[in-house]
Amino acid sequence: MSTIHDLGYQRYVGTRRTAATRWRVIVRNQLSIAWKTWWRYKAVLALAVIVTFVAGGFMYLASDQRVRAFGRAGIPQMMKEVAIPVALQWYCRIAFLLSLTLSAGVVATDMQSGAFTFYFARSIRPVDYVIGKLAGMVLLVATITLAGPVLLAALRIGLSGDDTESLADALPVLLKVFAIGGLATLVYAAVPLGFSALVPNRRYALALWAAYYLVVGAMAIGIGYATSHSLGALQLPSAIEAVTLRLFDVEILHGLDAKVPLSAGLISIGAHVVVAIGLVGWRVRAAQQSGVGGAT
Amino acid sequence: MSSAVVSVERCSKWYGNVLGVSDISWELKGGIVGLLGPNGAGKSTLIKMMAGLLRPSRGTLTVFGKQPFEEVAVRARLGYAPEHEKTWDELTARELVTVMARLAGVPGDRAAAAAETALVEMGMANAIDRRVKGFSKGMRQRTKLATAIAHDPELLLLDEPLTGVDPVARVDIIERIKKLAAAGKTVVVSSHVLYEIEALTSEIVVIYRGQVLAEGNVYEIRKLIDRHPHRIRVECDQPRAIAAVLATADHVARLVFERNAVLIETRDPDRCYDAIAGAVLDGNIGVTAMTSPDNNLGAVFEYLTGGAR
Repeated sequence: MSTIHDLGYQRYVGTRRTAATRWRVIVRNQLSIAWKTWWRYKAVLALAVIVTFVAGGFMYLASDQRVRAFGRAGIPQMMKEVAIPVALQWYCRIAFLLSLTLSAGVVATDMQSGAFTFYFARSIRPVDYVIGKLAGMVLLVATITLAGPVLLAALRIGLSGDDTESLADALPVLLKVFAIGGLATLVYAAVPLGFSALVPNRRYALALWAAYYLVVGAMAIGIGYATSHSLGALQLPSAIEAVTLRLFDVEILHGLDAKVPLSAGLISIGAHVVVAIGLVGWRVRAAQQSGVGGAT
Repeated sequence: MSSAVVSVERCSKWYGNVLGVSDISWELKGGIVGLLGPNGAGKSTLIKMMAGLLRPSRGTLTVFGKQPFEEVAVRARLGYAPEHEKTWDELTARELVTVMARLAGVPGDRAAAAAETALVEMGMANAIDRRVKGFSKGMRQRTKLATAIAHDPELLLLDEPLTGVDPVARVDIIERIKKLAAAGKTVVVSSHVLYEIEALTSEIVVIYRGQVLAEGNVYEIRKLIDRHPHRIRVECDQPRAIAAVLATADHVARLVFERNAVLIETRDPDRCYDAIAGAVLDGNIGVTAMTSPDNNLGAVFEYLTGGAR
């Protein structure tokens, strides 16, 4: 009998990856697709690099003896202290841009394109899909909201002086940026992903996320200003800033957002992340149960 | 336990109030089987249930003795090529098939090799590193088939794999599917075009309005279908000359004159085509077009079921 094996086709007879680890394939594919086009991830990453260089430059200048000698009393020290919290605000803005180019459309695009059939016709469970997509987004967002701040914190430690006391004073900065960067990473990875699962249309998902982030957030701040400052924590940047400002305790930055209590900020972040992940899980499960590829 | 690769027992599927398939019972033991039926007949629904993408609303459907919707592990033994063309267009064919192989469990280091083998097998060697975005319909179909075979499944589910493919590519794809079956794979192919299925296999299942109308040898079913009056429209400069030749033929049921054309209804298309050719040659008639408005399985099935279903 003539078979394809006679024509050089070799059957795959090796081991197979266990179903429980296939979410890693989804992560890898997510990273690969993000890297494919310049506008989806590379441009945003470039902005984060610029912010890192500018903030790092300020910190370096503030540590320079000549600048310290010429600058007005306290200004170089203030520049050094402010650089990381201000950079964190910018990293969050850049992460929002990334959410518009990538994360807020991830699940919607898969629903719209029928890509669910690729996953669920194979040994992939909805939970594998959710973990894979979330982990992929966490890795991508972390390069913006975690890697940059950690580099700046390392620079700050490096510029802190040679004595042990200065080093001991600077070391907590690293823990702080890990905490804030970690929270920001979760927020900007999970919440847009949740919106992307709301509607099976990428454009609508983007519009909903942008409207929630910008319009609903601004309304929450306005209402919070008139009633209770805790309401302001519904605006995600304010919730992250509430944590940042408490941890860094830089007086000059205390403005409107500083009035959002730390507990409200943490509760808002936690609730947003949990609801978003739950939403993705529910929608993906529902889509899989109802037949992912349509009726015919 | 049954030795059937696929076993469908009194299976129904509803989409809300819309019936996808209705009370289907069927067994598949191996080889190539063609699912034939007009659009909306329920072929894709049945294939999706086999692929584990849909859960039957009623009845049981097993693949290799397992229910594919519930037991995800059995899906590693399936290769599914969906009807739709959408893929991750920004990826190259190699990247796309590699990802699919990895999703099916082929480890990272072996997936790329498996993908390349599958793409070469599907005749995509020259376009292996091109982005899917620029692919023609035929190339997309070949790439889809490669994604279905890369992890070396035992059962292939191919939903309309020849749709939109040009005639040369169609012949090539048909030969490649036949080779896969010769290599020991069980293949289920759906189509709404009878001659596509005939070219692939003699074993067919005819589905219409969610039910299995007939199953078995294609030639028997072909005879049934051929009894349905077949219409041939001949556009020419002398329609009455053709009609004069055909008017006395016993297989011709009806002749209708149109502007510069004649519409012939026949119960024996082969003899009718021969008679038309003879009339054209003998009478030196200038024919501008010859079409058959009956390439519509729906009409044939309505006829077979007496229009009562």
